[in-house]
Amino acid sequence: MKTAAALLAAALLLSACGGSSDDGASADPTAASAPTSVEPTSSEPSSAEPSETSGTVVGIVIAGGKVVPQGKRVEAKVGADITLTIRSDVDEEIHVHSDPEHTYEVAAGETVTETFTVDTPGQVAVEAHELGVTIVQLVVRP
Amino acid sequence: MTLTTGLGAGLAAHGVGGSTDLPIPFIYAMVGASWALTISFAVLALAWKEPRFQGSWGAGEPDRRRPWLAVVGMLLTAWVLVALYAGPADPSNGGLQAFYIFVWVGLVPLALVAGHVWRDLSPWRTLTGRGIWTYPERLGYWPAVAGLFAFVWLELASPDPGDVVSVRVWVGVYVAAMLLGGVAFGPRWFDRADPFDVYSAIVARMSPIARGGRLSRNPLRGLTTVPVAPGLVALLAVLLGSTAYDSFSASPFWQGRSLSSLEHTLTLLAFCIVVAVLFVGAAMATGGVTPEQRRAMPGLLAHSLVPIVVGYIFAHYLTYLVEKGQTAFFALLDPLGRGWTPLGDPGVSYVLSEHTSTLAALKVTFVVAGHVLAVIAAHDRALVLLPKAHRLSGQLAMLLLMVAYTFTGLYLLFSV
Repeated sequence: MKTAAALLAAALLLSACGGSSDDGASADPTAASAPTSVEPTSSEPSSAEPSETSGTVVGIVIAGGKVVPQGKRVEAKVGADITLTIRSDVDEEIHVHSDPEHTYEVAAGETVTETFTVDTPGQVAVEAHELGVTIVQLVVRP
Repeated sequence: MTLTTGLGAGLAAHGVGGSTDLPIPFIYAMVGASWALTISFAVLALAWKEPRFQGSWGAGEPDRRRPWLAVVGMLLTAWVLVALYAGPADPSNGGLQAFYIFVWVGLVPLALVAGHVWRDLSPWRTLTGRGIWTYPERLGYWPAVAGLFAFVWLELASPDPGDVVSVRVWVGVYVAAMLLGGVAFGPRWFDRADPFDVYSAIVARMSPIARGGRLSRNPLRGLTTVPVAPGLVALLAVLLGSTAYDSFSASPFWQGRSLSSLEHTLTLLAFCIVVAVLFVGAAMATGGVTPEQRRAMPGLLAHSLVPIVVGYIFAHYLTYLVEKGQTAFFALLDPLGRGWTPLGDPGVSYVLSEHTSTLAALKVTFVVAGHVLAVIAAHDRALVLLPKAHRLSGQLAMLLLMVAYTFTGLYLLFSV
């Protein structure tokens, strides 16, 4: 009887855990699609897919005190090129929190394109320093 | 300013820049969760029915502090303070890195491996005397709770954790409080009010090493000797809640929002309060005890939270300590930022980050091992505290809560 109760509780908790992980997965697309009032310039904004040849491209637009995208996860590969295309209506400083870190200055009205690679697997935050906002987290896999 | 100068901004992880861990694969989280659950119920249903690990709660007179360690402590502290206050005012500051990495995170493995050597090292204990007044015992651990919350606030919710000036101010206030309190109340002040000393003392109860290395003991027996005083549950809740908040605040859900420092602070506080309230509720959820016994229950079970905290801290901070720790070590060798490299060109080894599967397996192992020790500790103490008729039912709420803590921990490791 005790064992049966334990098994039942186990099944319930496991299914509860599975449910919560679904929430995690579904939270991502909503976060991505919410702020679409400003469209990034040329390169595809968030559909960055890692591939050996082209690498990862992230389009970033800073306008009216808002950054698009904000807080999104973007997949990338170790050693492959990661390109940020940044357009901003104010002076901004972009920080890439890899080891070593990179800092890119963007002047008001300018569009800046920067390319770098990340050599260690991990998550790398790309951040708009003046606004104090995480633009994307690069999920850099081996 | 070169491109490689890391400017620790408000969102830099834990006050020190650089990359963070990959999420663990889903299957690792599931395997960990299944083990945690299975072992939990096995302990409840099949394990021993008489307490086995209860140590003497008084634990006798503490040792004398070892003078050579006090000297080492003074030298290390002086070194770090010189680096912090006289070093460069940017995140390459070795004192800042040592504070966040060696003091905050390094304290845990040190206490686990070597016992409460923090007490011997503490320069504040060395510099203060026997005290003028008796420490008011009704305050319990609450001053240390305030200190720990102030630290996790600085690290996780303040406007700019990587800002050297903020850390200088924080450390300045901390040192002043320790010296004044130490002069006023003597060594008892550090046993109850120094956030780092208290943290180390509690983790050290899980160490196989006791009494200055002259005694080895079962960590589960040592754990039962955590001194119970007001604020103990709050102390552990701050440690566990803040680490959970740290993971949570890196999620896309949270980073997609632009929030003020006040909103971060309130959320951090809410995490700690939820952890504490659930624990108090689960500890009290038993029949057959008097109201006074029920009120004493959370404190008497609080030691069982320690392994959960330690397991999760290890999972959360392992790469941070091992990899960022190397950078911090090299930065400390150049305390004034003059470009000194006495050990040659500093190169950091990313051996953990590069082996992603091993790292994920290690992290899950830490969380599950902490969970299992916690469940065993709670079970053993429950056998002492609960009347015979309620021994199984009275433990159930606590067991479910620990499973919930562990699942949450694994879920955060998997999703962020």
